[in-house]
Amino acid sequence: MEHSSRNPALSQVELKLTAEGLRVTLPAQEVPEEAGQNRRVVLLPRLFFDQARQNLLDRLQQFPLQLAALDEEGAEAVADLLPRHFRQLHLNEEARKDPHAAMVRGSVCSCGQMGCAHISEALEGVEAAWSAVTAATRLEWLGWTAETLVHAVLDSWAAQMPMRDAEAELKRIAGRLDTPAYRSKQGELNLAEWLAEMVHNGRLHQPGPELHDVEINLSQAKLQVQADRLQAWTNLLPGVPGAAQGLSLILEQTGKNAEQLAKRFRAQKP
Amino acid sequence: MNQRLFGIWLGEVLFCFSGEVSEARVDAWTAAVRKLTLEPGTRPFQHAALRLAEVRYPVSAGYGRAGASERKGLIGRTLEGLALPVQDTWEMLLNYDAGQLASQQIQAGGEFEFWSKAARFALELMLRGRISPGIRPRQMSGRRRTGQASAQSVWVPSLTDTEDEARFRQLAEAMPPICLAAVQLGTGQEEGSILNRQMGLLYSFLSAMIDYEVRRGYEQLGRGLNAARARYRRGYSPMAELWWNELLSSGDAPSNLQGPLAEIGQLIVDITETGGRPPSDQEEEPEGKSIGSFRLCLRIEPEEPQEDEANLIGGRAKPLPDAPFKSKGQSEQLWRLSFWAEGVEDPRVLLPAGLVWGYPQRDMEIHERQYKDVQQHLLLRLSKAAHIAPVIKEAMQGPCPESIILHPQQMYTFLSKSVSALRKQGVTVQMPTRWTKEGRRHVGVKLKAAGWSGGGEGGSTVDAPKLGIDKLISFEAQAILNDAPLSYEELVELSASKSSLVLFHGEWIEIDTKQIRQVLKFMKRQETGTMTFRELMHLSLDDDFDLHGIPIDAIEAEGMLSMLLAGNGSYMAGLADTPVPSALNGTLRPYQERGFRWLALMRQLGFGALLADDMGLGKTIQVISVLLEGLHSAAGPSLIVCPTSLLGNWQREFARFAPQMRLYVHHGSDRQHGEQFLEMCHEYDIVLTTYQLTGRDATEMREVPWSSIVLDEAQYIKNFGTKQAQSVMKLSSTHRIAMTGTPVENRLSELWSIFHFLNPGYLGSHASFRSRFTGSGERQNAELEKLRKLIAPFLLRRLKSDPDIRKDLPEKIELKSYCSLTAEQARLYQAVTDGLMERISSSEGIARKGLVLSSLTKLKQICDHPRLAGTRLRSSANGERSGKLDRLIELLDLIMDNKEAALIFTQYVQMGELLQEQLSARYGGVPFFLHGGVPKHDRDQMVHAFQEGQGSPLFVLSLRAGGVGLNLTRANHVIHFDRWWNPAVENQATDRVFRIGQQKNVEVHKLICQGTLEERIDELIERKKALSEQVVGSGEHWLTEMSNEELHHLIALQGGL
Repeated sequence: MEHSSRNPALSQVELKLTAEGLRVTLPAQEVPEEAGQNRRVVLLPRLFFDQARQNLLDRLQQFPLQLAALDEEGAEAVADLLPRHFRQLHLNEEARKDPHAAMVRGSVCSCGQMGCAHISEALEGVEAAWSAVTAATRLEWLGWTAETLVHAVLDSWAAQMPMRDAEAELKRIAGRLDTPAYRSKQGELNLAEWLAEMVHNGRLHQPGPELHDVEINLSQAKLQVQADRLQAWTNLLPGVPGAAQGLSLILEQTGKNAEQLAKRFRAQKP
Repeated sequence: MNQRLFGIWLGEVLFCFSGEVSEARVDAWTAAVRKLTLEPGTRPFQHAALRLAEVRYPVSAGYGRAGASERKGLIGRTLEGLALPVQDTWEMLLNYDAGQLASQQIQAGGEFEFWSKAARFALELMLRGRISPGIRPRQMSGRRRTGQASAQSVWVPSLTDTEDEARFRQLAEAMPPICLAAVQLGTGQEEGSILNRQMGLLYSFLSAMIDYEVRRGYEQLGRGLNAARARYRRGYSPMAELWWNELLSSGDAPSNLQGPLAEIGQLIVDITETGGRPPSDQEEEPEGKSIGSFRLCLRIEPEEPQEDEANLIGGRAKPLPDAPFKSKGQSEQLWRLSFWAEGVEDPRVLLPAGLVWGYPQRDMEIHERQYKDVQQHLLLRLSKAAHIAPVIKEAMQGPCPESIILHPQQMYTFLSKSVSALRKQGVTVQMPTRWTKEGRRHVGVKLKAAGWSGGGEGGSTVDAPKLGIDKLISFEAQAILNDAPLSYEELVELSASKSSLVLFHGEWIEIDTKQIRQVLKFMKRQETGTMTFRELMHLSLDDDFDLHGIPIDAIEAEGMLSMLLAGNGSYMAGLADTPVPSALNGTLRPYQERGFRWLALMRQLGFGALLADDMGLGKTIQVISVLLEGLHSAAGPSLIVCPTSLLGNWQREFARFAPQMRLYVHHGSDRQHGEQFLEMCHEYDIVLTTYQLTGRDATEMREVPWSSIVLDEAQYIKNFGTKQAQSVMKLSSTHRIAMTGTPVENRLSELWSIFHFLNPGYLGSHASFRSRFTGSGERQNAELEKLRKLIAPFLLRRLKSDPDIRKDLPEKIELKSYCSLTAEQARLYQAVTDGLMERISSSEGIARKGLVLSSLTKLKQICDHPRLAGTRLRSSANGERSGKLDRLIELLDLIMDNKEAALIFTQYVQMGELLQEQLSARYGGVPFFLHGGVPKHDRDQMVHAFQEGQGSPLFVLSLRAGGVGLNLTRANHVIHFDRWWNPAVENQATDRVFRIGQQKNVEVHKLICQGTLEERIDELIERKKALSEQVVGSGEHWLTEMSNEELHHLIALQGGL
C-alpha cells in the first residue's frame, strides 16, 4: 500500500493525547474541493499504544540499571527502549507484516470514510512528530511519566515476589534488632546512645552514601547578582546609600578570589 | 607507625585529635601531625594551638571497639588535640588528599572526606555569588545582664536556590556521626533531631569558611568599601548600621553588637529574612517520626555447591557465564554476593534486597523511623555501585536483583579492585568472617620473656643496673594470628597479599595488610631483644604501652618471672627456702618467716619492697631478720629512718632480736656530723635516725653508700614535695625497704612517692601518675586495678583477719611502744627526781613512804603529760608536750585508718579528760570516758552505745573503773597509756575486750617512756613475771620498801633520747 505523498509540516499538525487515543488535527485544506470544510481530525486509538506501553514496562523490568537511570535522569535514559518509528508501536502479530496498513485500518477520521487519505496524512504527521519530540513526550504518548513508569516497574517486581504478609515479614526481620530508636519517651534524641551504636557498628567516622551523590561544580561561573537581592539590602539600610554598591563589589571580589582558588584546585584535580 | 587524625568542628576551630589519652602518645601524635605537609608545601598544623575538648569518644579507640559499659552511651571525655583556626582549616580542606596524608603515615578519619567536600561546596557558592550578609547570636561574656543580648555579623551561604538547598541537605545527611561527638558543638543548635544538628553544624562550618574568605578580600577592595560603610552614631543610628559596618570590617576586633534583647532579636529576624533563613528539618518529621535512609550493604558468603546444576540458575542468583557450578575444593569455592539495605542512621537495620523489592509500599517504618521511597533508594545505590564493580553490573541484568554467584577468580578481582572503591563510596562490604562473628583476624606480637639477662638473678656484672626494675630481661618475639603462632614465611606471604581476604590454612580470613606489614617490619628488627623489667611489667598490664610502636598481645614467661607478672602474689608460693638467720634471737611465726623470705628475695632481685602488714604482725622483726641475713655481705651500714617516737622501739627490738648488730642512733644534739659521722658509719651495722634529720643532715647522709635503707611508717613521704620526702629520695642505696601499717589498698594513688623511693621511675612521672590514677569513675577503677597489678610484686600486705595469719597469731598480741620524753618532760622529771633524792635521806617511816609514793606518782604523771604535774604553758600545743601522747596519736591514726576500735586505759582522771579533749579535736566525736565518778546509768549507756557502734570508736577508761560486768568486745585494741604495775590488774582491764564474743585478735599496747622508771619497772616485771604477784604485790607499796640506792636506780633518767 502506498502512503500519501503529502508530508505535512510538523507545526501544522496538532496532536493531543486523550482518553480515547491520539487526536491528530490536520492543517486546513488547500484543495479546492475541500476548501471551506472543517479541519479533519483523525483519532489513532489507544489500543495502538497499550501494547507498546506494556512492552516498555516488560522490557524495563529486565534492565534495573536503566530503570535507575530513568529515575535519576529522566526519560532520555530509556530512549533506546522506545521504538524508532511510530508505526512500530502497534506491534501485534497481525500488524507486524504491514504496521502502516494496520494503523490505517484501526484509525477513525472525522470525514467518516474508512481508510481515507486523511488518515495516512495524519500518520505521516505523527511519524514525523515522533522522530522530533523528546523521549519524555514519547513516554507521555504511551501514557507514562518517568515517575509512573518507575513505580509501575517496581510494582511489577513486587508482584513477582509476593509476600503473604509484608508487614509481618518486615517486623520479623527488623524486629530481631533490640532497643528502640534513640529517643526517650519525650521524643528527645539520646545522642550518647546513638553515638555508641555507631561505634559498635564501626560507623563513627563513615560519611553517609549521599556524600558521593553531591556534585560540586567548580567550573568557571558567570557571577550574576540579581538586582532584587541588592534592593532588599538597600531597604534594610536606608541610611546607607552605598550599601548595594558595596555588596556588589564584595560579591564580585569574592567571586574573583574564589576563581583563583578554584583554578588552582581544577589544575590539581583531574 | 600510622598516626590517626580525626577532626570535628567546634564552631570556630576544627578540633583535630587522635583519640589517644596517654600523654606520651598524644605528644608523639602532635609531633607527627605538626610536620604534615600538604600541597602546595603548607604545614597547616605547624602553629596550631594545643587544646582540650570534651568529646564523646570511646575508650578503646585503638581497635575502634566500644567497651561494654560504653554500649549504653558514650560519655564525654577530655581529649587533647590541636585547634586548627579557620584560615588553616580552609587551606587544609581545599587541598585535602587522603593519599598524601597516608604517604606521611597519617591515617585520616572518613570525616575529612566530608569536610573537604563541604569546603568545596562553600567555594562553589562563593564562585557563583551565592553568599549573603548574615548575623548570629553570641554568648555574652562576663557578667550577664538580663534583658541584654549580643550578636555577631557574619557572611553566610545563601541557599534560597532549591538545588543548593537540596545539596546542602544531602551533605548534612551525609555527615559522619563523629562530627556530632563534641559535648559542646558551639553552633547554638544542640537540640532536636540528628538531622537538625547536622544541618546546624554544617551551616556554621560553611559560614565560617565563607566569612573568612570574604573578609580576606576586603584588603583588595581598599578604599572602594569606604563609600559602602554607614556613618554610624551610637544612640542615633539604627543597630542595623552598626551590624553593617562590622560586616565590612576585617573581623579582627571583637563585636560591639549588643543591645536590648528585643532590639537584637528584631535585627536577627530582619537580616535573616532579607538574606534567607538557614534550612532546617522541621518539615521533615511527620507525626514526630524521624527520617531514615539506606546505604547499600554487600555481603559475601561462601556458596555451598548444588547437586542439581539447574537449581543453581533458578531463583534470584545468576552465576556469571563461565563460573564453575561445582566446587572442586577450596580453590574452587563459590561465593554469593548479596545485596542489602542498611540503615544509615540506625545501622542495625539490615534488610535483604528481596524484602525491599517485594514490599508493597514505597515507604517503610522501622523503629519509629520513616524510610521513604525505599525501592528507589536501593536501586539508586545499586546503580552507583554498578559503575564501580562490574560484577554488580552483571547482577543487574534482570528484575529484582538480589545477589550473584562469583567464582574464585571473580572474587579475587572484586576484592582487589572494587571493594576499596565501593567503601569509599559509602558502601558497606561484609566479609564472610564478619558474618560468622569472628571478625577481622588480628595479627600481633607475642613476647616470650626468657629470663633475666646478663647472668641470672642478681647478675653482678660491672655494668649491671643498680636497681632490679632496670635489669634487663631477654625476650623472643613471635608473630601471632589471633592466638595462633605465625611463622616468618607465613607473615611475609600475608603481607604480600593485595587483598584483605586471603585463603590461609584452608580457610578464608580477613586481615589488615597494613597491620601485618608493621608486624613484619618489627619482626625483622626485633625478633630477639632485651627490655627492662619495668617495661615488661607495663607491657603486660598497660594497654597504652607498646614496644617500638607495636602493641604486644601476649607475654609468656616462666618461673619466678611468670609469677611476678601474674600480679596476684602467686610467687609467694614459690619463695626459695632462705633460712632464717640462726643469729636471730627469737622465733619467727610462720607468716613472718614467709615475709622474711619475701624480703630476702626482693633484695636478691634488686627490687625495692613495701612491707605493709597490718599493725601488730611484726614488721620490725621481719626487717631485722633480713638485715641480719644480709649482714655479712653488706658493703656498708644500713640506714633506718623512722618517726622520732619510734626510735626507742627500734632500739629495743634490735637489742632483743639482734643484739650483735652494732646500732648507732643518730639523734640528739650530740649526734655526729661531717667526717666524724662518716667514720662512725663504718663502725656500725645499723644507723637509726629520723625523717627530720635526713633533711637537716642531708649532706652527710648522702655521702654514705648505704647497703640498705629502711623507711618505717613510710607514709611520712607520701607527699613528694615535702622536705623529708625529697631528702630521703636523694639517699643512695641499692636495697630499699618501706614499711607501713596503713591500708595501702585504699590509698593506691598516694603510693607514687613511696614507689619512687623504692623503684625510681617504675610508675612514670608524678604528673602522668596523677592524671591517670587520681579521680573517680568507672575508668579510674579500671586504671587503679592496673596499678594494683603493677605494684603487686613489690608489695606484701597481710591482715590480722586473714585466716592464714590468724591461726599463727596468739589471741592476745602484746606490744610495747617505747616513747621519749620531751625536753619539758625531761626537765620536770629530773627536777622531781633530784627533789626526791635530796629529801629522802632525811626522811623515814611513814613520811618516807609518803614522799616516795607522791614522787613516784608525780614522775608517772610527768611521763604521761606535764599538765598532770600542774604546769601550764600558754601554748595550746599539748601534743608536743608529751612524747607518750605523740606515740598514742600515731597508734590511733593507724587504728582509725583500719577502722578498728580501741580502749585507752589511764590511772588518772585528769589524763582521761585531756585524752578526751585531744582525741575529739583530732578525730571528731568525743570519746566516752568512764571513770569512778560516772553513775551506773550513764556507764551502762556508754557501754551499750560503744558496743552498738555508736559514737567514737575510742573509749577512755580509768583502770579501776573497768570493773566486772563490762563487755567492750567492739574494740580489738587495748592501750595502757600508763602502767599499773600489777599484771593482774592490767589483764583484768584487757579482759574487757578479750571476752567471749570477741571475733578478732586483740592487740595490747603498753606505752613506756624510755629511760624512766616506767621502763625499769617493766623490765623488772618481765624478769619476774611468774613471781610478779609476789614481788610486786597488789599495789605499789613494794616500791616504798626499796632502799635509797635501789630507788635512785629505779627512777634516774637514763639514755640520751
